[in-house]
Amino acid sequence: MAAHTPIRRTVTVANPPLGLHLRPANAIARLVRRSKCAVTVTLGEKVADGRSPSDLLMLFAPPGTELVLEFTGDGAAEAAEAVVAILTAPGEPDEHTSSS
Amino acid sequence: MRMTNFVVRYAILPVLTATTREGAITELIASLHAAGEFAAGDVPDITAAVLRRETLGSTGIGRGIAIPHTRHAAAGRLVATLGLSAGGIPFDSIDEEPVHLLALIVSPQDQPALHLRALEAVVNATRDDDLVARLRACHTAEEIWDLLQ
Repeated sequence: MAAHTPIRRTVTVANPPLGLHLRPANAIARLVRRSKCAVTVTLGEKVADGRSPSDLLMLFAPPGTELVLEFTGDGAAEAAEAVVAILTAPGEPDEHTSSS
Repeated sequence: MRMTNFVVRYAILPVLTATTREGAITELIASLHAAGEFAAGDVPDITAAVLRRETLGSTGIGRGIAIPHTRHAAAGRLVATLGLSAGGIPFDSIDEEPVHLLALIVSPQDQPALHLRALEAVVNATRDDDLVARLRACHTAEEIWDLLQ
């Protein structure tokens, strides 16, 4: 069987106002754990394993941060599409409510 | 940023009585209020905000750890507290394991970067398996506080 060619994506984080915070990190890790591919997310010299929400959060990637993603293995194309969608989402409903 | 910069020492709960995610979050926010944080009238709304965010996706990051959190208009400053559950709390965590260590964070609504830094500080500290094991073995708030120093 031919080796899988890694899929590489460069993504600018959206998800305002927090960017790649806990919930998107957990969503990505959950997705990667369900898939059969390996995912790395790189910011400068920092490389995060896509299976680890802790790794992903430690990248510290607020909106506007450019990340390099690499997907390797079965289902890489589908995983790439899904992870990019999480990182570029327009944001979550704001968590506050007014106390008034 | 270190956790001791924003964890409210007198709100730490070494023994959570709650056995559910909702109960634990409610207990931790009540403990922050009892320690002098938040106006009484804001507690229900802050609790609801944290719980609402949990419905968008669990903050259980695996290895027995969860970091429920919210930004809120009623928060005058960044605060957090810790709670331990010996029996474990179902949290829909990423590894499907129950949560034994909770770190709950509430921060001002208009300071998202501060909020992200606080999350980073908690995640960074709890990447240390030895520290997590020692925190989980604590029986008093003082012991927990001392480990965070």
